[in-house]
Amino acid sequence: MTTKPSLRFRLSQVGRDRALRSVPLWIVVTALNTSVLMGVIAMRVARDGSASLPTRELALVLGLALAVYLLAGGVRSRCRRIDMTLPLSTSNLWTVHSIATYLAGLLVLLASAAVLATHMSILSRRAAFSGGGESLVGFCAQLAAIWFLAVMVMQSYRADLRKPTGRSAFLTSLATAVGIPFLAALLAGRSQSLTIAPIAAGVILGYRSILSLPKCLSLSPLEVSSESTGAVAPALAETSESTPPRDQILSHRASRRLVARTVFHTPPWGSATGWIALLFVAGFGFLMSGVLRAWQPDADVRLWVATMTVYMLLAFFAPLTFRLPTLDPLPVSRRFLFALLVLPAVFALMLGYAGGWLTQRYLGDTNRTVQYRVEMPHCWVSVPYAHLEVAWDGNLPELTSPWGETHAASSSTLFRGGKATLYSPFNTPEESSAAFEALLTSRAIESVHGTSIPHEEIMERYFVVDGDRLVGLKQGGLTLEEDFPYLGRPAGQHQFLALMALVLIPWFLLLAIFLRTFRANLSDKTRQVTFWSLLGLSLVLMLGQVAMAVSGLARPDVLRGTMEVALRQATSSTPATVTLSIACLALVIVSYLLAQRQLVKAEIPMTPTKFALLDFSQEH
Amino acid sequence: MNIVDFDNIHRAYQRGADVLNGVTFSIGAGRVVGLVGKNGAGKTTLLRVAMGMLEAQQGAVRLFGLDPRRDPLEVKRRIGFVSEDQILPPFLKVEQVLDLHRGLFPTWDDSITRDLIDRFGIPAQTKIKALSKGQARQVALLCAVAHKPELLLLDEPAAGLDPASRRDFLETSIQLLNETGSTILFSSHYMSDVERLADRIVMLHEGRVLIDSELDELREHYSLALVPHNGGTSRTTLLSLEGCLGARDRSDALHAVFNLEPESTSRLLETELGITDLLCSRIALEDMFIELAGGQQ
Repeated sequence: MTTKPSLRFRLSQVGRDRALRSVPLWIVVTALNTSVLMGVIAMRVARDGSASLPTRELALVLGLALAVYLLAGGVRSRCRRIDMTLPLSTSNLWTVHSIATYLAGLLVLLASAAVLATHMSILSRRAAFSGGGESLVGFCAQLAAIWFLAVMVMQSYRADLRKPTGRSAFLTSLATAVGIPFLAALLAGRSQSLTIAPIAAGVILGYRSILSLPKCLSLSPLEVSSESTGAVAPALAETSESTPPRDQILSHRASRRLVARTVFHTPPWGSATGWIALLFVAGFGFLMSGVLRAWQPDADVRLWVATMTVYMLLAFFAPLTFRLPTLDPLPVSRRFLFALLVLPAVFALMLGYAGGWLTQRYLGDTNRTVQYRVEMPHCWVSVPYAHLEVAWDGNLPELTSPWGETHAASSSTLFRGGKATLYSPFNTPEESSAAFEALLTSRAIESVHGTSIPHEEIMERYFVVDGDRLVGLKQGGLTLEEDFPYLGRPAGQHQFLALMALVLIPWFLLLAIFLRTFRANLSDKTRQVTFWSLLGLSLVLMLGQVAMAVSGLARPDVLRGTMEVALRQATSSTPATVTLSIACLALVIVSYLLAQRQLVKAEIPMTPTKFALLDFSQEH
Repeated sequence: MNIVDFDNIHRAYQRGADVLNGVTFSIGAGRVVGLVGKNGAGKTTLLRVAMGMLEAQQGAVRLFGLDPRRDPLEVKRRIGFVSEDQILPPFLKVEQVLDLHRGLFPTWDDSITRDLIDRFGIPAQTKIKALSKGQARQVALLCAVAHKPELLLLDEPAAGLDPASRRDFLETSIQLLNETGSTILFSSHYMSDVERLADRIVMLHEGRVLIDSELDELREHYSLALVPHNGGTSRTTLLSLEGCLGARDRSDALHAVFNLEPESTSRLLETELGITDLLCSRIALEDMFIELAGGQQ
């Protein structure tokens, strides 16, 4: 006869559930993710000049926190193996896991909401943002209801199994996870009474699921896999006794492919993990090319993306160490392994960059040419950042014409309270004559295209002064490329190597520190703490830029401009360009070798260390 | 030239807690050496040091005259390695695992592969994760022997296998390798396996080599003396005698292992301590293991 477990025992069961036990980790993860997403939203809103945070996007951020937790937070395992050996009913196990998962999700939601609230409060103080008109409590209530439905969906799928596995189980989780932010965005800003719908659906699903529970949970499905179990591989049966050299070479290649496949077949998603990682990295390479400027001239997020890429590369590297214990006893060179671990990501980054560069060329990059922007009441000559100048001592030269007209240059200090100033020698904030504007345009053309066009001609062709003595452009605008085809498109800067170095050098150096922890006398915990600290450091580099922008300490575009000016000055001649390129390349290679050396010297633990967040809640 | 040379190997995982504490021994070509010792004695660490997977903090290890940390590929190509916790890629099919190894080892022999696949009845089209523990271990062994390694390192290779599979597994591989004159160093808790297969025993205890002896010599020249409590002899007294490897205070008597034949042990105890009412006999390997590694030395 089975006695019903006491309430105290049930509570202890809930407390022991894997979903709830992993919550402290997920709170940290959620806080970081929410911070990053809020940073993105804040930057976008700031750029758009909007005074309120978009309701739907805030709901999406909260929904995403839950979605990520659902996918990777140990939600699928309904109980531990040992629980199956205890005299506990299936309904007890089902209920306990449902409660634990629901509570864990609520805690993750609260963590995300707390970070959101903190960000919103900082933003509202600094930049007069409002929270989008909807209360955070309202979002949380909606998300709590949606999470209830999600838990019930997960619990009703193959309720007979301890842990549903395989493709269909993964797709169910994925669909449910995608559904959470989708529903959150759908319900955002609508009546709270709609919250009842997901709760009702969840109750119905849960009820049906409880009714269909079997007497015992199973470790694996009853259905037999259709995999072939032929006794001897035909290829083996027909192979000749001695392997000829050509076959040896082929099998060597096949073997290398299988080594690569083994490295990239890593938790949590098997072979998809590597591809997803590479896709992300290529995406970052695409953004690093500055492709966004093709759509929106001011959307230059290269510097921010570069630091984010370091973070992502580091985050994706750790899971790839999972299969090293498998390969360690084999005669596989550590140098080859290191190349296998990092070079695909480097190539993906470059490929993404190339894709972005080609897209820009296809769409036409207006940022590389001289333009005259008219945004009344101000008009100005716009040149690529690289053609601005930096006054390190803060003494700005005046813009002077041959006929004696003098104006101050447009400028912006690098850091609040500092002397160093970025200024444009082709742009004045003061009211000036049309002839002066034509002169500045002529100088800009000479700087950017290297060809001189007399300012009188510019004045005659393009500039006009209206009745109020305001300077403007004639109909058709500044059509330099059409009128002066010999100007050609100015060459882009040699930024590729510099940007790659900016990403790869810190990545390799962080990897060297990380791989240094692969020593038998260092514990898994040391490795994990080191990895997370390094990840945190790269996150600080990324979020630091947002913090500087929000606090007004420095403007990201001014910093970026300064870097481009410095790069232009460093590549002012061919020998200088070659020297800089060689220096960048040498530094990348040295940092690569430093990291590689650490892997060569590493003592790989026989049991893989769990680094990825997802690993902590998965069984492999 | 020796195939394996361990010279004063020290290795610790934590400061002040040496797992290997000056291990020194060598193995010549064609020998089958059983490495025994209780859990934590340092067997796995020693084998991993030999593989170059761990670095010795002091001392030198040479395999085929090479340093496994400096020439890992040269060394690993000539070694077959199977360990208890070794994991084959679970998502690969058996034949893909064999393909992986075939390309890495230039001396791979498909006839051995075919022979063992047939003998073990391994389903070649099945993924590793779908195999039983025993079958997976058989695949691991197959991968370790099919390239006819000059040295086979086996770390508890038969742990977890049923007795029939265990015997089949070990004997098959060792027979195969004996035919090619390979050297074998294997660790095991199964003394029957060690007695059946090894021609030399190295017993590790607390990171040191306690016994390094030919198996025949071990059978002939080691003895167990049961000294009754009533004579007032203490463990310390026994341990102070030359040739005494270990002594344990048991309920029935004091058990002492001597590196002497039984007759010599009796004589020694009689002349040195005046003990006459003792039982002295040859000692089986398993008993020796229990007496020496079982604690209260």
